[in-house]
Amino acid sequence: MSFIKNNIYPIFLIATGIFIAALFLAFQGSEAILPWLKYFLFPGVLFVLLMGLFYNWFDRKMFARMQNRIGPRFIQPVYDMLKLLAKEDITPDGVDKPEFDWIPGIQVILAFLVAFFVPVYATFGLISFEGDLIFVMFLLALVGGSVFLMGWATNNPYGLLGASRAAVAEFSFEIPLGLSLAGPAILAGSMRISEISVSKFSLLNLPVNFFAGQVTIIHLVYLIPLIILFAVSILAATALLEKVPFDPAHAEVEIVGGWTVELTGKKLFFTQLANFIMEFALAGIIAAVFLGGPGINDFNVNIGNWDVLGYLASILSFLIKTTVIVFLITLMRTLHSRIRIDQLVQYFWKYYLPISLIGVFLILVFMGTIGVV
Amino acid sequence: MTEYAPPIPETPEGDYSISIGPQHPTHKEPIRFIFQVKGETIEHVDLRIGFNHRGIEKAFEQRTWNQNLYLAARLCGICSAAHQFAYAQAAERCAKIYDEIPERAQYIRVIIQELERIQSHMLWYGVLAHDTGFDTMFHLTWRDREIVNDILEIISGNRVNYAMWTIGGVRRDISRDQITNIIPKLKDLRKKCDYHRDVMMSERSFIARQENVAILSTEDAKRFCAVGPTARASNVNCDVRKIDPYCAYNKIDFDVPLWDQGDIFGGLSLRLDETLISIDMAIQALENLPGNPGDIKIRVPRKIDPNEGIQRVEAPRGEDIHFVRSNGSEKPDRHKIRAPTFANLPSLVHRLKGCQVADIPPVIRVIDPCIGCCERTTFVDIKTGKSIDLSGEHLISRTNRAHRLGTRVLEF
Repeated sequence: MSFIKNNIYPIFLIATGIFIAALFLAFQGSEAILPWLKYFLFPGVLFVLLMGLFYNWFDRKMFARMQNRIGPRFIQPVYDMLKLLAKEDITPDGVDKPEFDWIPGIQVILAFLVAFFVPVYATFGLISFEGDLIFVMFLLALVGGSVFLMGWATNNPYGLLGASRAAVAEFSFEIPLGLSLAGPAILAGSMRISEISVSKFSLLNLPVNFFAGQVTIIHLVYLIPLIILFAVSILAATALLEKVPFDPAHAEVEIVGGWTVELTGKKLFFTQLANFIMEFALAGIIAAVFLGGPGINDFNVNIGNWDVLGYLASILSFLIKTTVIVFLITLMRTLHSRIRIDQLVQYFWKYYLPISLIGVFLILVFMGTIGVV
Repeated sequence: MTEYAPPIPETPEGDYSISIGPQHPTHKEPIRFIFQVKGETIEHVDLRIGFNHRGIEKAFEQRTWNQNLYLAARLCGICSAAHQFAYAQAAERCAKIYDEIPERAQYIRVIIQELERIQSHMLWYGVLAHDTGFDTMFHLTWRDREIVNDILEIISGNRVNYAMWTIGGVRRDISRDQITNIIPKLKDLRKKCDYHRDVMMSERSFIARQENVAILSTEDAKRFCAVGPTARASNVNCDVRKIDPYCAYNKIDFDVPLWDQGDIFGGLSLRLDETLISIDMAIQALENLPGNPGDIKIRVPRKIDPNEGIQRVEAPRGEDIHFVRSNGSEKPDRHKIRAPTFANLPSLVHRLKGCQVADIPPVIRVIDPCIGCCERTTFVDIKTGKSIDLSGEHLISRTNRAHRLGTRVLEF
């Protein structure tokens, strides 16, 4: 209770924001004036930016509270970003010029692009097409490549070490992440995020549908592979975001930030912002794939024009699911210490990849024996 | 101080070289390591010290015996009591009053020593957790370390430099009220340290970073003359408190934990055990505090007759040696310090070879380096690369000339 009491200001702000967003959506749905506004305002750039900063604050606050510290106040990420923007932008001698200048910006663009695939208030995101899950995986691989290029361009021993570690980590977590997202896609029979999110057989929809009488008790056996794949996807997301158990590419105490070591001012701002947004986007995509995204059980199909309450419910459901995933990532980094890069490779190739293969295999076996009805 | 070493060769043994220090997040104090790295494996280590040389041994010769007590406390931030204690006892041996120290003062010395060991070890394993990225444990241990700092403040009035010793006893007594106040706090602290031990010895990712990393075998520990917890983690029983007891350590019942792994995890387990044992020792000494209140020191003359005194003390980091020589005046003629970090550096350089880059912070941490204590000067002829032996009189005359003429005399 005291947490709510101490953070009444952010909670009030978030509630107001959600209400304004729902009103905006209802207005858009009825009149459809300025349809491009959604790319800039609600599920678009402004919303993604604010959510990135919000989840950064949430991550830091939870991290601090679990360590018996007070933690940052709600507005702190904004101040941090403004401070970085005001700092001097230094380009050291010896860096590879075009890469060093351009990659931070490209990372922000890639992060925004991934975030646009996240279904926020309806079953589909801002961008949605058949097979967009594969395209999202491709964008995530591009982010990994940009990290490697950035470290290589710094021409600094710490940066080179961080870059090579980041590339090795990328090779390790990519396949488990892809497999873990492929499991629900196989169950849903589609590679489209919006269709996976409304599937009856996702991790959260399955029990809900069981109590609603839409699936039989025997279908609950799908929960076993889904829980396995959900856990693997959280681990892979932690590695992609370079959070503590899997952040040898970023280790502050030994290689001083790794590939970000030479970045200052605006460039550091861009890479950090890309990381914040990527955290939101990954949490949103995992929420859509495993937890049913913004709606539960075909609920949001019934949203009509001016249905403010319907929009409110779906946005709230999305926020709660995303927050839970971000909290799991924070929990990972609270409870563990940083592992070495060889241990990271060992964990992912030796344990998480076989586990995710077993998960996908179990789903295929169950689909062959029980079927998806 | 100017670094006279020749420039580092580019990459004689590894793919490339990385420099850690003098300023780096790993180091809390300035020291420089140059690693020749092949892939992620360290092939060769080069060590540079001398960024923090303060000429403190010379400063000892310019102050009186009593003033030097407070200079000795400034040798190191964490083990200030150990250095001050070693100096005070060496001076007592020099003045031949070592056997006349009241028993109560000896017990209070034990209490302060053990409390300092507790806070130093708690600081150490918190920083080790931070070095391996386990920030939660870092914050929790440092929160609980406040208890022992508060106890030290209750006894001495200070949290860091306690200034408890004087030549001939201790400066402050511990009253009965203070004892009844402190013992429950120590028992509370023991529970918390037990919890730290449980967490640190069971967290898999934390242990995976430490097991079988930078192993120092028993033979190597003896060969490189490692001291303190570093050697005890390699199964070398070198605890001065047991093998050469001073003050009241022979009247107090305690065990010396030994571990035989010799890796970082061995050092961690050893220090976690030592913390608990030190808490027990402090409680034991507080409960059995002998003598009459107020009988804590004897009078010592301002001038000490020509003599020599040497004292070994088990500081939290290992064996700390102070040597003093008096010439009958009110100032010491010569003062020499052998700090524990200085004895552990050769074994550290040996252990770093073959480690991975990610292991550098915990491996450097495992000897608990205190650069401020260990800075010494060696005169090296740059042309031949050989060190030059200079006698004490020669050194003193050179320092006096350098004081008059500036640094020009440094050229041979």
